[in-house]
Amino acid sequence: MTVQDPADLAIDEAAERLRDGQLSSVALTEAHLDRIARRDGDYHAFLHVDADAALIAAGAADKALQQGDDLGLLHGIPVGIKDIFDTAGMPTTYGSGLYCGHMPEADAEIVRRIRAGGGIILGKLETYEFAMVGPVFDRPFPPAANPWDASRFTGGSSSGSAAAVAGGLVRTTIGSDTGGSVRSPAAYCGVVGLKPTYGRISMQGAYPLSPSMDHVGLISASVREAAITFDAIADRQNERADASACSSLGQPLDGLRIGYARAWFANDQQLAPGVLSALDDAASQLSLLGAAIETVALPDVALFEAAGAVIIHAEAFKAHRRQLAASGSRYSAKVFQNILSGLCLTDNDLALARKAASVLRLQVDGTVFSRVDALLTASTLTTALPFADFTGEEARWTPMRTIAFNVTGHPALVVPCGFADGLPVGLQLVGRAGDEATLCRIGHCYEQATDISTVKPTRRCPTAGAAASTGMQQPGFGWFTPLSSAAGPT
Amino acid sequence: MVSDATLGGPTLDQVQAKAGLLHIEVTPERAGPILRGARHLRDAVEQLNRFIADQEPSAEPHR
Repeated sequence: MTVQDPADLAIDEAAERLRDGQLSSVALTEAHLDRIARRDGDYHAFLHVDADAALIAAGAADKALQQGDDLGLLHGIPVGIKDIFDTAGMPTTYGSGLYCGHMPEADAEIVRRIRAGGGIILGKLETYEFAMVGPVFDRPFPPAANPWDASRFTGGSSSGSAAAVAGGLVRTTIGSDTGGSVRSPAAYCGVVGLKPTYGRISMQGAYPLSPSMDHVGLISASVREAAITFDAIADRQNERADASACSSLGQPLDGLRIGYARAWFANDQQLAPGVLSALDDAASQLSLLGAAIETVALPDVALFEAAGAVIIHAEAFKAHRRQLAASGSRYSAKVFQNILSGLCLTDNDLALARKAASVLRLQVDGTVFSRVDALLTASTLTTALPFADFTGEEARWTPMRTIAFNVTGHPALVVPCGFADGLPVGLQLVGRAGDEATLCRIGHCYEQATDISTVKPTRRCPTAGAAASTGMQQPGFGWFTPLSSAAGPT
Repeated sequence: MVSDATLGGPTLDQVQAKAGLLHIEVTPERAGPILRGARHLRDAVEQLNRFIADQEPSAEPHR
């Protein structure tokens, strides 16, 4: 009889075993730490692992359960945190060499909630520098690698979050999403990514990129695990917080109307053919599951992208202006250049973009969500690109359909829906504000009806020589440089 | 590196002058991508101006 590795248990299965005494949180945490030790040398998903603190927290979680003190859905469950969130007692770099060795004194609100709910924080996950742009190769640590093919990027900026889940290091992670930073890595890595409604989860204690667009998000191994994580951390005081995501799981799709925004991405010249066929197949599958599918039109994608670009760059420049003056030479070159381009924008430009965002939100609500319960569209228009495609002097933006819903604030869920050339493709579901539950209902039903999410990456990791052959020969890439030996804090 | 003369947005001198006021150093090596990024952002602003003007036909474009 084969004994299942606890690190492969879904978090609801692990939670059940924790409560019936078949498994301890200490054993579960040890299994994940062992997995990280054995695999993360290839993925570089974690910037910092705090095994001692995790095991102490796991021991406390076990003791609490024995005493009948159940703190909730994540009690005793290991979680990874994107290194954009302050975490007391752990190094928090914001993905930048500027902050190597930085130790926050207080937790970000999302970290506080996870700890208060009994979650076990394993460590901090790689992020693009200040969650801005990547992958870049001029930091003291490498970008996370895609577990499906470690010579390819993960997407970002929640790069380590997606790599850790896809690589089997942890089942659920916290990320952030300002233009697709949870959803694109989820799609490229074949895992589930949820960007909740704007404001549903506090960003307090995260390094701000663009406060009008920043969202806490999560990346998990399945829709059920995403729903559990969401229910554990979502703001219960918010008036828009209606049905719990978990309560929607298992409900059939009969009677649901889903709008397929096919023309919104299908004519893009950058679209990979395999992505279109995977999305079309998903639309057919959802129809077979009982949903009524109709095509819908959305406003011009260029308008969403224009509004999003102006808001992000104007707000990011404001957030970084003083630090750019003091320490600009210590930013990654591409991040410096990207943020500094926002200096051409005025307060009037920002007000204009916010006004456009408001109009676009009203148009989506009026023309789409008055007719359908959810929207189906693409997330990324290609599969994960090789690192070698990012070695030029300028940042490269990959084609996606994600930023629109940072502009409008609608919740969006990415679910694996197939493969193209052996690499994952993810569909995107978008819902009414506050209705994450319907997205989880649809995503879970789809996931259960297909076997796509059961396919896991085989470990195909390049040697240092293979990494070098991609053109990335900067010191530190492919052989992790410990943060403790890098530049000190500013 | 792109010549600032080819761009419709701010010039290199303008970018360096504004950055200088904020005590941010823009080296020539970094200027090209910054200028191209700025040009794209100015194009985006113009696109949004047209969009808003279309929504409010009687209103003046937002400046």
